[in-house]
Formats: sequence, C-alpha cells, structure tokens
Amino acid sequence: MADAKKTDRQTYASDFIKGDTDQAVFLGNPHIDNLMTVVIALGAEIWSDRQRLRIVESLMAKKGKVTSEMVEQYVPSEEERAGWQKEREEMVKRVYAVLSRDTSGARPFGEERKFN
Amino acid sequence: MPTAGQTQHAVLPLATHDEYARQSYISDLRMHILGDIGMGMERVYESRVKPAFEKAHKRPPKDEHEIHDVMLRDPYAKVWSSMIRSCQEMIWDSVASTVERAQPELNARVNSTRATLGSLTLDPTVKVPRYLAASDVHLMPGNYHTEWTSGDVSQAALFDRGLYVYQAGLAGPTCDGNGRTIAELVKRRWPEFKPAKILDLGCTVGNNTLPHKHVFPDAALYAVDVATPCLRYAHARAESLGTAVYFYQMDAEQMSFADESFDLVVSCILFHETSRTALANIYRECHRVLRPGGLMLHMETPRAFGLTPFQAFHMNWDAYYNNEPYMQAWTNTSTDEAAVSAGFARDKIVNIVVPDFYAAGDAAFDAAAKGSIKKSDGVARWGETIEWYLYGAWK
Ligand SMILES: C[S@@+](CC[C@H](N)C(=O)[O-])C[C@H]1O[C@@H](n2cnc3c(N)ncnc32)[C@H](O)[C@@H]1O
Repeated sequence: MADAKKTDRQTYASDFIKGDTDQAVFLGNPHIDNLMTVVIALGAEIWSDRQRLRIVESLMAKKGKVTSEMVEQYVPSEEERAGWQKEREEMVKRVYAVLSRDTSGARPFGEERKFN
Repeated sequence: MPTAGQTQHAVLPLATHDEYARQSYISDLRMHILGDIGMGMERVYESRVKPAFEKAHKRPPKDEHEIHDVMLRDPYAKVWSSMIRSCQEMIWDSVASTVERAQPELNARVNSTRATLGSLTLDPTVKVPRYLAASDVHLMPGNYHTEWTSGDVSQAALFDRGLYVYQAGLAGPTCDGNGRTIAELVKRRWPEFKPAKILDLGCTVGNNTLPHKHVFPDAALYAVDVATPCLRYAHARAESLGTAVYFYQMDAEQMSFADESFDLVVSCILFHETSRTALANIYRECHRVLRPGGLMLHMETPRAFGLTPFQAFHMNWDAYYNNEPYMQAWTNTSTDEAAVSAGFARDKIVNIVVPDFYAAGDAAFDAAAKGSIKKSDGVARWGETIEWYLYGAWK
C-alpha cells in the first residue's frame, strides 16, 4: 500500500490486548462452546474412519487382504488424494451448513410469532 | 503414514494414518469457515448489524472498534467466532500427538545434525523478549521458545506441521510461499540488484528463509530468531533440505552483526507478533546493518487504515480471540513513519502489494512484479486471490 502520506492514526488500540484463552465465551455459555469443539472433533474422527474405509476398500480390491500395518503404510495416488479431498470438503459443507443459517429472528420455544 | 502433501524432510515427525486424517480434516474445515461461512460475516454486517447501528446512532459505525462492539453480539458472528476458535485450538491438538510420540528420537536426531552446509550459533544469554513470552501466540501451547526437556525441539516441530495444516498446503510443500514471493519479487523487479548477503528476521523454522537461497544461489543467507527450539530445528531442517543457512540466536532489536553488513534484510509475518517498541528498535537495526544501497523488505498484514472499517474489524478479530495481542496495534501503526524514524529517507520507502507467487503462477507474477504495482485494500486472507503486503525502504 502506497500510504506514504498517512501518519499514525489516533487509536485506542492498546499495545497489548490480553488474550482471552480461558475466558472467551462466544455462544453465551462456555459449555455450548465446548460442544462446538466436540462437534468439530467428532467430525475429524468420522473423517479419519471414512478415509480408513476408503483405504481398506482399495487394498481389498488390489490385494484381497488388509492389515493395520498395510493401512499405516498406504501411500495414496495423486488421484486418490484429490478424491479424498473432494469427499472431505463435501462432508464439511454437508455437516456444518446448518451453522450458517440465519438465527437472528429466533425466539424461545412457545414464544414464536403467531401467524393467523 | 507419510505426511502427505508436505515435504518429508529429515526432522518432520511422521504422523499415523488417523493423525494425518484429522489434520487434513481440520485444514479443510478451517478453509470452509474462513471462506463460505466467513463471507457471510460481511453480509450480516451490511444487512442487519450496520442498519441497526445507524438506526440507534443516526450515523454508521465510525471505526473497527465500534463495529467490534456491535458485530460480536450478532448470532452469526458468535457462531463463526466459536468455530474458528475451536479450529485453531484443534490445529495444535491434531499435531501434538504426532510430536509427542516423536519427541525423544526427534530431539536426538536434531541435536546430532552435523553442519555441512550452514551453521547454528546459539547464545544462551539471549532472552526471549517479555512481549513474546507473555502469551501463547496464536493459541500454540508452549509458544516458540518452551523447552520441555533439555535440547528439546518439540515446539518447532509443532509449528512446522501446524503451519502446514493452517495453510492447508497453499504455501507449497515446504510452506515457503511467502519467502519465495519476496525473493522472486526482488529478483524480477530490480534485476540489477544482486544481494550478496541476505538476512531473515524472526525465521522460526526457516520455512520462508530457504527460498532466498534458491532464488539467489550465490548469496550468503543468515537468519535470526530468539527461540532456541526453533533455531535448532531450523538448522537441522535446512541441512536436510540441502540449503546453506547461517542461523544465529539473536534479538532482532539488538543484533551483533556489524554495521552495513547486509544487502537485503527481510522478514515474514514478524511484526504483528512484536510490540510497538520492538518494531521501532527492529527497524533501527535494519537500517544499521544494511549497507548503503541495500533494501529492507517486510511481508506482513495490510494496514488497517487502508481497509474498510469492517475489513479492519475482521482482520483484527485475531487480536482478541486468537492470542495475537499486538495485531491491532501493528495494523494501526504506520510503517512509513517507523522507517523514517529509523533513518530511512521518505522518498526511498517501498510499499508493495504482490500476488502470491504460487497462486499467480510464473507469468502472471512476473507481469505484476515488473508492472505498476497495484494498490489493494483486500484483506489478505486465503481465498481465490492471495496477495501479500510488503513494507520496506532502500537505504
Ligand atoms: C510468526 S513467527 C514468523 C514465522 C516465519 N518467519 C514464517 O515466515 O513462517 C515470529 C517469529 O519471530 C520471532 N521473534 C519475535 N520477536 C523477535 C525478536 N525481537 N528477535 C528475533 N526473533 C523474534 C519469534 O520467536 C517467532 O519465531
């Protein structure tokens, strides 16, 4: 950015903003934030199993047998790797799409606006 | 399982199948949160947060701080924040088990590395600056400098793999996209400038240091950092990748290199993690160690005052919720004034926005590097167009 004319702007940004590592509550209750972490972690576990399944399928088709050691040693082809990535991205979109739903008009159960 | 995608150099710990799968998942999820879900943040701001503010105050929000206050009360921003924060924590989580398992063997391997190309000069009297030790930067447990046992390099291995997961591989198999972009720009834009001695400040594991040697093979390449684990690991990594780098443990605010001893001094994403005082000191040191006619060039985030207030708010979210305590102060500091105060002439200041070398491809990058440099106000987040901001000056 060619901002040679700009000078230091007055700001009330302090030099150091203390991180909130332990205190941040985004969803109104720390337990709900923890549940978000759980949901994300479960997604990673499911994907890990899904990818293992793809490897098992491939090994069975190619070699007719599979061991844990073979799974650990498995090196996917570029094509396979791209396929996994696509499948993973689709899974992420499918699973988390609901979180971008507009909830700004939401009301507690029983207090919804009545249409008649 | 080989850590697919990333170059398997001699000191990068091997992940198991499940660890590798979790890491890939977090990478993709993070891109989705930054991309699809992140895009919604501005939509929500324009469509309801800003109108509500205008209704209440009879004017639009005047700066990023006012936007911060109202935006974070919106349910969409809360969900986005909770997700991206969880994801950041899980980057380190997903890598930590790999590093922990590898630790004893990894430490032994790193500490027995023989210097055949470059060198490692540690100085136990160098203190980690207080501003850096004050928090676990970007939520990386243990920060850059912690040694869990003597001779430990775990934190560096955590950073090396964590960075790849964070970047989702977009900076290339050795995470060198930023450094490569700087070096290619210097070479193509100023072909008559042939740096013989190059210095990289705040090198961490050296991922963005090495490309300078690849682009300027005849140059002697030096790099400094304060974090012992990172320097040990960086040295072993560079040797394994066949690149000569002289690593020194030094505080960039106060280096022991002689005056006027470098042609080119660079850094990558260093200043958003340093205090304002450190920034001034480091700029002064850059001026001191550069020879007349030399070039200082730092790659960093955009300036907040070049962005819309919303973009500045979005960029500086990290200051509050990603343990980047200096981010907001840095993005609101004029690098031009810092350069002038450090002794550089105002008419020698260089501010450039360049496309990412890998994302743009050789031809498009070449045209951009040689052409008139475009002024951009886009927030440098990974996306369809990746751009980098460079701040510097000729001495
Ligand atoms: C975000 S990392 C830079 C990463 C690396 N340059 C890259 O491109 O990936 C910041 C690094 O700067 C180092 N650092 C911070 N302040 C420093 C100082 N005053 N002197 C030397 N190194 C410093 C930290 O130890 C850390 O390794």
